[in-house]
Order: sequence, then C-alpha cells, then structure tokens
Amino acid sequence: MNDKPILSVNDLRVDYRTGAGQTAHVIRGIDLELYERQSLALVGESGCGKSTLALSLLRLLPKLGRVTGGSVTYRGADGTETDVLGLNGRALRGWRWSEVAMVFQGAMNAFNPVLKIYDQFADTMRAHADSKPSKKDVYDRAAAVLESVRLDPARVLPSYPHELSGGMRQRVLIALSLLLEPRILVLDEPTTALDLLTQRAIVDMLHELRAELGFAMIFVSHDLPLASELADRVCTMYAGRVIETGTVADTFTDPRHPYTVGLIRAVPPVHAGAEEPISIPGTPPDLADLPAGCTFRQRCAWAVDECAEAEPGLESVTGRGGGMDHAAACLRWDAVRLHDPEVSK
Amino acid sequence: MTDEAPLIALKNVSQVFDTKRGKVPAVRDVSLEVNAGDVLCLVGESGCGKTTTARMAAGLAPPSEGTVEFNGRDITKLDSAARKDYRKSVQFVHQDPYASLNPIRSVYGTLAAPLRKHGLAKNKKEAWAQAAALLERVDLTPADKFLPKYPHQMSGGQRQRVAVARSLSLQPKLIVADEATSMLDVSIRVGVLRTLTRLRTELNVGFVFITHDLAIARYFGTGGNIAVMYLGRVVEFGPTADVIANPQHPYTKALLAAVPEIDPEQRLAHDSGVSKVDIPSLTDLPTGCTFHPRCPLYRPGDCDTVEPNLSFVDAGREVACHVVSETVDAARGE
Amino acid sequence: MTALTPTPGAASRGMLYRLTRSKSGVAGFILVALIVGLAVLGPLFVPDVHQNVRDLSTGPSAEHWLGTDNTGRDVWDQIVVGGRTVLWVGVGAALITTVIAVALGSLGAYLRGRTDAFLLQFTDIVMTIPQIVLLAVLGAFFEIESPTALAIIIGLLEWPILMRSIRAQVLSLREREFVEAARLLDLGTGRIVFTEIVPNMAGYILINFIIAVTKAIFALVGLYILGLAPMSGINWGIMIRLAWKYGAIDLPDTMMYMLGPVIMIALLQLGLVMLSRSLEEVFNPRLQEG
Repeated sequence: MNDKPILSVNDLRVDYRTGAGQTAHVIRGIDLELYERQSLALVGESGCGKSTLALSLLRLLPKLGRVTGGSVTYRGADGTETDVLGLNGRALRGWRWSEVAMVFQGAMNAFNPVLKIYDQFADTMRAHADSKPSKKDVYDRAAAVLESVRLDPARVLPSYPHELSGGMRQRVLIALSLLLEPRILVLDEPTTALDLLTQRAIVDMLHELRAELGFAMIFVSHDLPLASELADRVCTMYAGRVIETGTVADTFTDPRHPYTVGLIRAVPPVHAGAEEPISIPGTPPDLADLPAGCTFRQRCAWAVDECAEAEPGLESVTGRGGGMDHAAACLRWDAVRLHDPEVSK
Repeated sequence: MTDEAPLIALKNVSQVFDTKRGKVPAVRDVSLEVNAGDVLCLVGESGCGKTTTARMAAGLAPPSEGTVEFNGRDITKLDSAARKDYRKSVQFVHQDPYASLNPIRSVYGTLAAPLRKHGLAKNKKEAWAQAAALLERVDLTPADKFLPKYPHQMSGGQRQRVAVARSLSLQPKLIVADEATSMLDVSIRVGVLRTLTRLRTELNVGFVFITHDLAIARYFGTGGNIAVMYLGRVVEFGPTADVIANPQHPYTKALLAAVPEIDPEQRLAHDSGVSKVDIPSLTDLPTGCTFHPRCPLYRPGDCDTVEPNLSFVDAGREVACHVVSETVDAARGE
Repeated sequence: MTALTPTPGAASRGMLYRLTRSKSGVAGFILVALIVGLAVLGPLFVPDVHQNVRDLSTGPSAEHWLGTDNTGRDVWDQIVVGGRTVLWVGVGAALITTVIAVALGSLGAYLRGRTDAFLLQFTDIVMTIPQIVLLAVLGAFFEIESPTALAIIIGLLEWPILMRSIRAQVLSLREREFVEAARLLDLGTGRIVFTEIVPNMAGYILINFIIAVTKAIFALVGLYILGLAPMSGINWGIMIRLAWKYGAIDLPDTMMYMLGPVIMIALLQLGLVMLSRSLEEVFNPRLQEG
C-alpha cells in the first residue's frame, strides 16, 4: 500500500438552502483520507450527512447544496494531485467516472426504462471517449465488465431494465461504474433495497472485484454489520461531522465515542448476545439550529458540563505517540467503553 | 388451555392477483393461527407473500380461496355487530410512519377521531385525557407536549409511536405490524420494539409481525412463533428462537447464513449453498418445490414434481421439504 | 434517507416564506385586493351615479373623469359602483361550482363502484348542457332579474370539469396509508372523505376556486355581451353591453365607456390568475426548486 492517500478531504463544509429560506449546515468540517485499495465505510443514520459527503466527492451536489469551505485532493496513479473542488467543465467530466465513479442510492430503480442495457453502456462509453467507440468496442468492454460482476452479457445486454431483477440491476450499475476502470468507487447504500440473499451475493462480489481490479472503495451505509463485513476502516458520522474513525476491529470492539457505542449496542444480533440491545434516547439535532458544544451531549450517558462549551475535535485514542489510526471526537473518550454498566438505562 | 377457537386463524388461504402480466399467486395455501398475547413473525424476501398474508389476517383483502376466521367465524360472513367487534379487535400498523399519519391532523386530532366516533370519549376534555393516556402507553411523553404537534414536527420514531397509539385506541386484541421498524433509524428500532413488547405483557395484545430482518424477528419474536415464507408458502414454522438457532429448511439456513454479523466469530459460513439464480417470478413458478432450482439438497425426481407440504419434524416445528422430512423419519427409525 | 433533518414548523413557515417571495403572487394579491376593495367599498363613496342629461356622451373632463355615457351618466361613477354585481356573481357561481364539484368528485372517487359510475354519467350529462342555449331558453320563459339567479345558473353548469379533477385527486389520495388507517378504525365514509381527505386538497381546491371565479366572470361578461343577462342596475357587464349597443367605441371621446369596464375586468382576471399561479408554487414547493 502506497503511503500517501489517493483521496484527501480537508475541513470540508457543505450547506443546504432549505425551503424556508434557512441554511442547514449539512457537513461541518470533515477530514478524511483514503488509501489505495482501501475500503472505507461512512456509517451513520439519516441526517448525518454521509450521502451528501459522498456526492460532494464527485461534485454531484444538488442545486440547493453548496460547498462552503475545505478541499478535496485526488492523487492520481502518476502522483499528480488534482484539486477536485476546483475542476470545471471538461476537466471535471474527464476526471469524473474515469478516476472516481459512483453508484447512487436507489439508482437501480432510476434506469431509463426505454433504453436497453446495451444502450446504457454505449451512452456512457461515448460520453467519455475521445473518439467514438465502435459497436464491437462497446460490446467487448461491456461484456468484460458484466462478466466481472457475474452477469451473463448475452442475457443482460439486450434486455430492458424492467426485465431484470433488482439484484441484477444493481450489478449492472456497478458494472457501468467500472467501465472506465476508476481507482475509487463510491457506493451509496449499495444493498439497502435488496433481499438478504441478493445482498450477500453483492457483498461477496464486491470483495472479489476489489481483489481483482484493485480499486479503493468508499461506501455509505446505516447498516453496521454490513459495514463490518465490507470495510477496512470506518468513519462514523453524526450531525455533519466524523465523530469516530478507526479500523473495523477498533471501531466495533473498542469504540470510544458514545454515539458509536450507542449505535453498536442498538443493533440486535441475529443470534442472541449476552446483552440486551438498547436504543439511543432522544433525537438528532436540527442542522439549521445546532446546540452549543458537542451536538451529541443531550443524548449522551457520559456527558459532563464541559461538553457544552465547545465541539470537540477528533483526538487520537491510541495513546502512545499520537497517530490518528483510531480517533474519536469526545472529551471523555478515555472513559467510554462498549460494555459499560452506566449505559444501561 | 381452553379449547377455544384462536383469535385469528388463516385456513388454507390463497391470494391471486390479476395483473397485466397474468395471474400472480401471491399467497398459496397458507394456514396460521394467532391468539391474544402471542407473537407470530412472518419473515421472507420480496415476493414471499408475507405482507399479503398479514393484510388478509387484518381483513384488508379478502382471500381468493380459504377462510380467515375471527374467533372461529369466517370474517366475510359476520353480521354487522360481529364485524364491528372484529374491526376493533384487529388493527394494523403500517411501515411508513410518514404516510400513515394524516399530515393536516395534529396528534390529538388523529387520536381523538376514533375515540369520538366510537363514543369512547364524549367531549374534548375526555378525548384529550384518553389521547394522553394512549401516548403514555407508547412512551411518548410528556403527552401534553406531543398532542398539539403535527406529523412534520416529529421524528420518524415519534410518528410511528403515534401510529401505534392510534391502533390502540379501540383496545385491540391483535395488531398486525407490517415492517413497522424498517423505515426508522437503526438506533431507535429497539426502543419501539420494547414498547410493543410491553403492550404484549401489559395489555395482552397479540402481534403478527412482518419483517425481512431476521435479527429484529429474533429480538421481537422470541417467546412466539416464526413462519418463514418463500414464494407464497410457509416453508418453515416453529418457535422463533428455535428456528433461528437451529434452522431445518435449506432456505432458512441460507437466509441465516446471509445475515451480516459484526462479530467475526459469530459469522456462520457464508456459503449458503444456494446457487446464484435469482428469485423466480411469481408468474412463472418452478414445478414441484418452488425452491428446487436453487436448493443444495435438490433431488431430481420428487423435488421438481411434488410440492412438499409442511410436516412436523418436532413438537411445534414444521418444515416443507421432502429431503428434511425423510431424514427426520429415518432418524425416528421408521 | 435524505441529507436534511426536517426543520420543525418548516411546512407553514415555508409556505408564508414562499408566498412572499413570489413577486407575481404579491402583485396579483395587491391587484385583486385593490379591485375588490374598489368594488365593495366604492358604492359607499358614490351613493348615486351623477347624471346630467345635458352632458350626453362627453369625453373625459375635470368634472367627469372618464366622460359620460349616452344618457349623461358619469362613467367613472359607474365603474366605482359597477363592480359589486360582477364580484357577487363571480364568487357566488364559483362557490356553487366548487362545493358541488368537491362533494360529487370526492364521493364518487372514494366509493367507486356504482356510485362512481352514476356520478360520472351525471357529470357527463351536465357537461353537455350549453350555457348560452339554456339561458336563452330560460330567458324566453322567465325574467331573470337577479344576479343571484345568474350566479346559480352559471355555478350549476360550470362544475363538471372541476368534478373530474377533484375525482382524480381523491382517487390517488384514497390509496394513501392514512386513509387506510382511518378505514381500519371504522371512521365512516362521510368523516373520512370530508375531514381526512378533502382538507389535504385544500390548496388545490383554493386554486381551483380562484380559477372558477375567473371562468364565471368570463361567462358573465359573455352573457351580457350577448344580451342574455338581466339589464337592470349598473355593473361592468351592462356597461360593456350598452357601450357596444350604442357604439361607444366609435368615438375616441366615448371609448372609456367601453374600455373602462373592460380594463377593470381584465385587471381583476389578471390579478386572480397571478395569485393562483403563485399559490400553485406555494403548495407545491418542488416547482420552485433551484
């Protein structure tokens, strides 16, 4: 693994204009790094900003959204650095999809119903090619990516979207995103609308694809067990910020932010564990009207008075010698434990 | 144990929908029973018929074949007084808390409507007090703070609690909950389920609980029964904890093997043995056992010609599989 | 899962915000308010229309701001007092139209089956009745004197199209889960239709009510021009008819007798249309996105 990240996000800030003329601060200062061939999960619940973050990385925010600060830097295979937020027009279109590609949430239901799958591939290739690809080129390339996602090109290419199952459509989308051999693949809730067995097949397929093609992956999910199976590292998000970051092992066995603890403890395992699952009390804050200090403190079992003073930044929890390998944005990270009798309410 | 008829009994019910693509047999010959205070979980993937079955139990759709019985009587043949009783006794909670509440009604308005209509409250004061009591039952307190609110002012979890409170207003004996927690944030699902469990223990309300999430089914359904459905039929039935810990039908085994697990040590071998063919369409069902094209235990000859019926493999445990039934019979030394 | 947490009170706060943000909506509202104000309050300031039989068909002057008509009546005075009837008929007819359309459309859509089929058939029949012919026939047998009668007739003939739109809306609303929940609680057809479903269409009904007012006013003016409406009293419609009959548009001096009421009606209609358009955006914020 190269020692420099292929994608760095620095203090990114994104605002949304709401219908009532207010401004919601959806992303409020996020740092993250993605290394080659790494799989990173952005985990959180509705309103935490994870989907917005994913869209921002590809400059695909809707009209009401605006980046208000920070930077996103992409480091190409040859070492050149690209300021993603500064790209425009042709440069942006050339970079997007060929270096970084995305599979959107619910996109399997957003296919153009009157286009055959072959046409979808052809359109994408023509839009990004310097010279118009021939039908054979399109077919060959499409067949190659379809086979890598375990679909039969002869069955899939001549079909219309409605003739394929949800799982198959999702694989087609993954195949489309891999057409130009991107180095980073971003997936937003890749298995949410899929059945359990289909989900399992897609998860297994993504593992194999990463091993074969060597791309790095960022995926957005609210499903913790899924994240634990697909990711190398996890960034837990709450109210527009990353509140904990660490490897899957660190995050799930030794979480140091009360929200991460709450999230893990709230999910019942399919085989009864030793402890009763327990919900996190309260509700997330209004992004247009945030409380002072730590945004989680009103729901937190470890909160103390100092928590209301200022919003804590990410601090290393690995103790010896810094290193942000495992970090949490909590004043009391030292006291936070996954199995703490204090938390039983 | 008295010999009374069960509260709700589905007897060989089937449901066939007429669509443009042809006849869709959404539910095929399902028989189930629930009583007050019981839990029955219906689990399965899309197209398995669990929602349709639940809606038939709630009287929202008459079966194409078979009967739905309330206290032993066919619900399509009830006189108006009995029909009213049935309607009060069996209620329904929808999946989407955003859609199941009228956006222009306050929480008080939503709760008071049935109370006033059925004469349970005679004036606003009584209705307010009763509505507040309902909110307290579902742990939405302080009630006075929530009663004047409108749906858009509340979170998904709060709305769902209001929906549950509404379903309690006529003092039902059974609530059919259709994926009641699927659209809620992960961190609050368990809280809502705890509230439902308390309704079971305190008010003896029975539940028919539909979900695709096996972990949620295990959590909520322990103490009750679970029915695993596939393409319109029940393929495995038994006490929830038992079926999940010790699945017998190859499909159930596959489902459990597919569930992602945080703890690496708890992860079963993820190879479910199911061949990667997608779920067949309901308009084009495989012959014999509909699972046979994907089944690791497939035996040409009987699996593709005769559809297996549910048969007992143990007390209270039923499985619809030729191979499993034979193995069990053999083990009994017959 | 959206990226935004819902803001408390967003719905009503948002509506007011969007209402004031639409320039045409505010302009329309002001226009309508002014004209309605003039029509309703004007007669208080002009108890009698000045008439001077020596000043027949004069042009605008200091004494008669818009001149006089062929019987010496001051045109401006007539405009001030002449709006009431037009408004009365317009709003009255629109009310009748809206109430009938909402009642029949909602019930038919909710109940489906034979009731719906019958109501649709009935609506189709009413839709085929030509207003003009009916009025001509009625006018031949009875003296239609009062504006109220006119309002009723126009109202009773305008509802079919709106009935179908309302029916379409209710057909979709009745599938919503909160309606099913109401049915599960045995709340009763009347209650469900009129307190659960109809209020959800309040915005839609309001917009269509405004459109019905514009249609009724057009119908009214049309009837006046054709001479089928009662000619007693003074109102903008009568002015147009008489101006036409007595050739007021032929001379530049007397043009205001025709133009005055025409402009007033046109401005009123314009204001109503602008208002209804901006209300559409208020009730459907997606139209305003970006």
